[in-house]
Amino acid sequence: MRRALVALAAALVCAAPAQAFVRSKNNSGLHLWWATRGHSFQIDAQGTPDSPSAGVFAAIRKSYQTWAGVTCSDLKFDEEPLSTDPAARKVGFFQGETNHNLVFFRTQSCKTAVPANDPCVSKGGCSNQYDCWDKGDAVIATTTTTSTSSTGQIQDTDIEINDAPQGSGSKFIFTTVDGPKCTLPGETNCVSMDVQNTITHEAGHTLGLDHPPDHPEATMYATAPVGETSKRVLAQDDTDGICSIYPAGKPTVTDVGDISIAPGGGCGCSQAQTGPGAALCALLLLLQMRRRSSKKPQLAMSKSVAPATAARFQSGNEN
Amino acid sequence: MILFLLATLVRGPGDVASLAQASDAVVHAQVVRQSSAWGRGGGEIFTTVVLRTLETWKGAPAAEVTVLVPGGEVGDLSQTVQGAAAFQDGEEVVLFLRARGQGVFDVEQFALGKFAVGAPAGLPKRALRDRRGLACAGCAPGESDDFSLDELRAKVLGSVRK
Repeated sequence: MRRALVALAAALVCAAPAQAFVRSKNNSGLHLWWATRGHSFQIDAQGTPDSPSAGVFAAIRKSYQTWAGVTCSDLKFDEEPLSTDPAARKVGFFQGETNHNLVFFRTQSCKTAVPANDPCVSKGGCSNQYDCWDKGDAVIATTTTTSTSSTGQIQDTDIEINDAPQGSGSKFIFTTVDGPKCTLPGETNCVSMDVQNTITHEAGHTLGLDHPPDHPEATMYATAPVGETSKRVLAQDDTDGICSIYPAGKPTVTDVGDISIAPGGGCGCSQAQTGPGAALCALLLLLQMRRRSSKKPQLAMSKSVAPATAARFQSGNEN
Repeated sequence: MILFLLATLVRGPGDVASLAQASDAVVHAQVVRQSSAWGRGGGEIFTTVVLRTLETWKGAPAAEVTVLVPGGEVGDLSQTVQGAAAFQDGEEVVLFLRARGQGVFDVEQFALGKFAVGAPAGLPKRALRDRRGLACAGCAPGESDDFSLDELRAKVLGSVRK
């Protein structure tokens, strides 16, 4: 009887409901937030050689305007003048300086731009030093967010896009047309990596949103079919998420602790029991079924899947 | 269906065989220490992770391996790069590595190249991959993120021998 109860308890804990929006956290585990409603952004004037700059910049602006248009929040994104200074093509936070939330394309690879003996190879920082892409051929775009460790307040966030030729000579192609979808390599006048689709998603990250695991219709969902443009438009889960952090006319919701203001009682902080987490839940359930123990379930993952995978093993790691 | 990603976007495939073939080294290792510092170009924080090698499945065997990952904490500033591999002190991992030069490695395809190793009490070790924070273009829906350690080792060694 006891064994069955333990298994039931584990099942109840592991079987989480569908997950709504997710808030991003910093390295200290605190949710990220801006002290302002929205943030300024700056586009680097070099753009991408893939598409005319006017269209690319308009697509980036529309991406931010999409978030500004959410009526249950009151976000505003002021655009700074185009950045024309090559020395300003940098990611990250510079203490004591004015930091711009830059959106830009890296058009050369650090593999070809950086001398092999430069200390940045082992210490990091080649990308800012040589204006090159240093995150690997397989990475398409990243958002780098700098926050105050002890509060989660965002200080700077930059969007860096891999537009550099790779070792094979190929590169990602960034487009702004509405359709049709590209189907062949080298095809033109079609949608490959849609700039607005991509930046709308990235802008959600700059505001403090992460990927919702159970809402494929959301702009903040992690994957999309080739040529997709639907993420230019926010889904209900996206607006729920942003309004939970920045509700119109109310204080910004900051840490510490869970938020519990999502419509329908959802919590934007917990993690879904999917993927590896679900697998380990299954293992734990199996474990409980097998052991004739009067102990409570060893639920390393009972409350939610821990942010780091390693934490999933914490209570049961034999090492 | 071919997929491509948003957020930190990486290009797949991300299956073990493809990762093993694309990597310069594959190791089963344990984190000894890690430290974060500003990069040479300023603005960016990087974390240097030193691991003790338990097994070398691909590449030249070495007692220790040094990995550089973007992001980290310096003073009261925290920098996060979505989808980058993150490590815990003492954590046991399997890493797919790409040589940067000067004896330092990157994790191949950000968090796709890292499996955390551990086991609930009384059960064999498993290797799990956490791909939250990543979007993957070209990752097949059936790519597994969960293997027994023995199964992962066999897959890697089998791919390397091909």
